[in-house]
Amino acid sequence: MTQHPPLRVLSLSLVFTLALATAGCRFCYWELEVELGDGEFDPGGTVFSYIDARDDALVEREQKPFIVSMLWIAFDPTSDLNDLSGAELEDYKHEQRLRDALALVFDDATALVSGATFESVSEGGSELVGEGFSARVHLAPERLTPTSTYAEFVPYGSRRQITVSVSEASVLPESTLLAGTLTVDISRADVDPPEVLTGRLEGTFRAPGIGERIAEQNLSLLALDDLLGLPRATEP
Amino acid sequence: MNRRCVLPLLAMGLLLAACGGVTSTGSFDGVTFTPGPLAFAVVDRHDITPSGGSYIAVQREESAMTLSIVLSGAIATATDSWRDYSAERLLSLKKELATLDGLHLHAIPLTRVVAGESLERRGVPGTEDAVEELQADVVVALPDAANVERQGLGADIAVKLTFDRVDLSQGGVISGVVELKRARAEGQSGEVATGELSVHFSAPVVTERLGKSNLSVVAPVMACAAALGPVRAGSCRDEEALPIVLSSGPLSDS
Repeated sequence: MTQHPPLRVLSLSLVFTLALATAGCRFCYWELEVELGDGEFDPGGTVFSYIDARDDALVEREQKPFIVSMLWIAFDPTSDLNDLSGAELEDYKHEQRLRDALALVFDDATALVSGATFESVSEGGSELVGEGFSARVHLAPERLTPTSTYAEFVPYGSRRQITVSVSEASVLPESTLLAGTLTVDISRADVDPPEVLTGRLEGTFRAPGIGERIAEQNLSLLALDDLLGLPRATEP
Repeated sequence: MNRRCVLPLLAMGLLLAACGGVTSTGSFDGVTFTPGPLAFAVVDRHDITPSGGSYIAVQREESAMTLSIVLSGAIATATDSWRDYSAERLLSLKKELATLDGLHLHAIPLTRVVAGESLERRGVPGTEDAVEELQADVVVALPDAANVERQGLGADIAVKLTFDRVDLSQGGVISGVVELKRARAEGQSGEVATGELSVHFSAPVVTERLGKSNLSVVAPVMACAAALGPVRAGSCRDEEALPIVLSSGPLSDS
């Protein structure tokens, strides 16, 4: 299990810290090997899943997407972030933009069974392969220093191949869970510049389920539904 | 100029050269303007352009390279990456940029950034008589109550920038003087503050990538504050930073 990242600039309230301590590391299972840029990619602060059963109008969907969210910031996703002050919420939102995150969206929760494999391939932000599955990787932006130069500016390759193999899945409302292995390959697409950064992330994850209502509300309060390209509830 | 005038000016010049910073002389009918201590300059030599699914940095033609100079009462370190500040610190900085005296001089052609050279901006932008050799956002802190009671601010602002010393190398410094003239604009009625003042500055040249990242915070806030005027400038703290491109892709503020 990865070490929990230090909460350097986040000013957590005492209540929230206690909630996190109570939750322990239930929502931070993430273990991976990283071969990428500076060698760091850590979206293991908070890992959870939920079934997106209802649309914006709260009408139940026929086919219910299953969503896994992995974030650098650490909080108890079952707690209501509305209880935080506006300043604390802003801290969370701002910090997550500067950190790693990853979202997996399975179009149909019932397709998640032990042994199932899913693959998503995208280039330049456009999905090429993704039968019933899509993923979004948010790489923490590099930190600029007085010595940063454009001569050393090299973008990441835009081709993202993400493979998930399910080892354990439960889509029952009372015991939602998804566990498995995950591989993210970042490579050069044909249309990319000749020199790009490439890398590979490989590891296992375990995403306990939480209620849809609290999950969507918290992700929205942190403006992460946009950052992670999560499906809008109302679709044409 | 007599000795009594020369000595203070000489002392000011030596002080600026030694320590960097901003000093001003004169006022607009009692309304002072001191856009310091924050001072830095950035040379913009590159465009970031889309290339397939990614972005690349492309060096501009020399004639298209520009210089920006920021002078402000805000308290910040020019060599910090401001976008990495905590949300609270960043918001405080944006509030200071919006509500304290400040000057953002930009679109200064690099080919004219040489010691002794002067550039001007005057007249109504876009009109035939306007001179627009550079762009300037002038942010004025709300004057004290006694001044506001007596007069408003003349809205016709002319800016003249003259370089004393130009060193664009790593760790270099640009110093010079900005002369500001404030006059009654066409259509303004009542008493308005007019006059001339000079701002002497010495600004360290910050490296381009970091400098442009910080400018992406400065530019929208100071443009907003200059346009809205001192009474409403406080709302400009909410202006979002302009998107920038990093290795991981475009990064916006929201």
